[in-house]
Amino acid sequence: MKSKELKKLPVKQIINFISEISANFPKSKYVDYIAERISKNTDYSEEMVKTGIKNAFLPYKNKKSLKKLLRYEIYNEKILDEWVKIEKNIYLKAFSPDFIHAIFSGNIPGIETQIIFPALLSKTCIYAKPSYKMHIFFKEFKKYITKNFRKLSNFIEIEVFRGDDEDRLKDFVKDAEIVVVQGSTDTIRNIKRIAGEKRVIDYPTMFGAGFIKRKDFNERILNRVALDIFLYNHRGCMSPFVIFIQKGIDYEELTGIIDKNIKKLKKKFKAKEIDLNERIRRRQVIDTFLFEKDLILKDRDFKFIKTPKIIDLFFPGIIQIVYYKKPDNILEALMPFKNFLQAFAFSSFDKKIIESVAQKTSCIRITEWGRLQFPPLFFANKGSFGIKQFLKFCVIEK
Amino acid sequence: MIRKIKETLEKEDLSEKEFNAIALEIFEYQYNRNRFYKNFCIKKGITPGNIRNFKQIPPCPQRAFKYFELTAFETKKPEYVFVSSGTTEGLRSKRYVFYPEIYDNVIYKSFKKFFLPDMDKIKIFVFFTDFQEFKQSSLAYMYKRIFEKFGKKESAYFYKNGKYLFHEFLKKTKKEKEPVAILGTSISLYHLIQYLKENKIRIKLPEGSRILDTGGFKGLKVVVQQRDLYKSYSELLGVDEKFIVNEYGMCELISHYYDANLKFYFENKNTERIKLSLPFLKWRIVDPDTFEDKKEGVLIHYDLANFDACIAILTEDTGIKRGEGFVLKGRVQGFDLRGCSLISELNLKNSGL
Repeated sequence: MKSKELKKLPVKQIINFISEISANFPKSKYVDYIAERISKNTDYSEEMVKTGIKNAFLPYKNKKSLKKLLRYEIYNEKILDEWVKIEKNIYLKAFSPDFIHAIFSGNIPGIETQIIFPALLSKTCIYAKPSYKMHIFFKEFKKYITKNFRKLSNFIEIEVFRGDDEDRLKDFVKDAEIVVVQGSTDTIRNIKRIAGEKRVIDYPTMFGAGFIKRKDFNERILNRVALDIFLYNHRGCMSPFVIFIQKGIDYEELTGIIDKNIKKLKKKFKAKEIDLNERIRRRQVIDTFLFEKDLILKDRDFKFIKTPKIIDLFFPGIIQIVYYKKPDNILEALMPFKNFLQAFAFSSFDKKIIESVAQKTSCIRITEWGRLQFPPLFFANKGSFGIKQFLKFCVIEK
Repeated sequence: MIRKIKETLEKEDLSEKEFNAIALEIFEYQYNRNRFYKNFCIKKGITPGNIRNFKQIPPCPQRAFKYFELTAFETKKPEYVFVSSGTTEGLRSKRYVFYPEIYDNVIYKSFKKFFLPDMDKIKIFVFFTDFQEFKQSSLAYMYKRIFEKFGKKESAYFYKNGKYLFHEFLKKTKKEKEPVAILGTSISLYHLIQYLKENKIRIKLPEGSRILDTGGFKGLKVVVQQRDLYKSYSELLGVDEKFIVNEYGMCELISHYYDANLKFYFENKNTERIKLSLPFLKWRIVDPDTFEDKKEGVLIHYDLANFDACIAILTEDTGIKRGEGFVLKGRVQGFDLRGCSLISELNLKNSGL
């Protein structure tokens, strides 16, 4: 890996490259092949993989937005290239590490861009350990980059091995300066243990939620809710695990309509059956809860449980339905889990609810239903757009 | 009820009708004696009066044993309390045993039928903790019972005080002239194989020697395939693969399954490696969402010997139907899911369950 070449590239050129890559890669034959292979290895259909990749690259297409992003994050993108005078006799420059070691979870197709592009923008090379089942994405992406963007060809190196192979993991992080890891709490805990004193930037598990008001209870909204649930098999931190329903909406009717819409989406996306192991675990989890909890289960393709308050059951394919009377009830119900909420959807804009969720919880995205799974560029995961976390700043005082 | 169970477990054959009748009776017994299970059944819309076939009995998820006391004798003091080896955030399944004589009988009958059909006693070498050192292990208990009932005088344990005694094992087997039986977990026998490989040792155990292993490879830091391990058993210990048997059981279940290859060998049948059991243990392979029977899916066990806990257990194990039995495909890994699945795992314990 030759980080020197990357460091020499002006940030303007990198922005151009990212924009071009994002415009062209999703349309390329590489993605067709990726979709075919991932679909064989996982329970995602080709259509789902293509949608995932398309949506993951989309926010990085616009050069102006990329520049704006850098300016929000580091005020002046030129500090990535040179010493920039910021005040009389004071010059500032940003330095990035030669490379990061990144461990990808692979729960959503294309999610890799959320680390790839911030790393590239900060002129940092990546040693990647892709998800075992979806590693073809990286292989093909590297091929594409090598063929079309020769100046970036050494930007990514890949090592493919199973995540439970601890010896390989130890070996992988041995020379790391910074380890970036996406994944479950358990994966992150394991990596931190292995990484020891090294710096670990983690993207742990979070959840999505949202509300539906009685006046918005209609086919259009429920279709959008169905999309947010269905896309990527209800995995990932954006998926709605909890839906607050205003009193007066019939539970049976609500779940029935969402289920019907999900069935339509399954056809449209040529969905495959969800992974057997995941369905087994889902069954174990949900049936164990039925031993004691005051739940009403709607055992459909996706499982809906009506519960008086949020229960600690955030599991793919299980959606908690919590009824609320007053808007305040939503925040009250979220409070025990306030540090895990990432994205929140509304059926119609309600400033009071939205402000309170944004203010009092860890939520960093609020959007309308149907868009939960499509994070924009300005999505500050863990309070950062992802570039600054790799950088060190230095001033020269002359 | 106890007398009836004992009589049933003595039978060599059990018709579908007989099995069904007793299974439904046990279900009713358990339904009325365990409030947690009763609550679960009600939520599933099943009561003893409204089902006719044992397949309709709501199977208790294996995981529930980690959170609830699932016993039909809530006020009786158990003779033994066994705990599972697998944990979920430090929680282990608990299995209360009130009638050890029934458990013993099941152990003897299964072991004899599937692992020792050709002789009454054999020298047994165990690579697992002695029950005295690990009284919560149903496996240690099973080995103890087997050791005492079927082991010849020179039988021995080769795991003591947390250490494998490979050297002693080699000394003992060097002079061996008669068949021996090696018992252990797949992991302990993997360590034996590693020891032999590292020391470039290859032995040839006397003809008729056999190996019984059990469990998976969870906890090992390397990926091991069972077929590779069996090949190594064969190459390094000189045991014919037909004489290698895998036992499949779980703390939550009284009865066990065995690979039937050795039994088939002595019956001059095709030595296919499929899991079979005694007639009072039935299984289904189903879809975990619909509970429809499938060729490949999740395993449900219906064990009449489990009369003191839950007769039907929904496992986390996947299997494939083959012939009259099944092939165990694997166990769903507890913490290996993608996505936002694990907040619950972290705090389930604190959520009132």
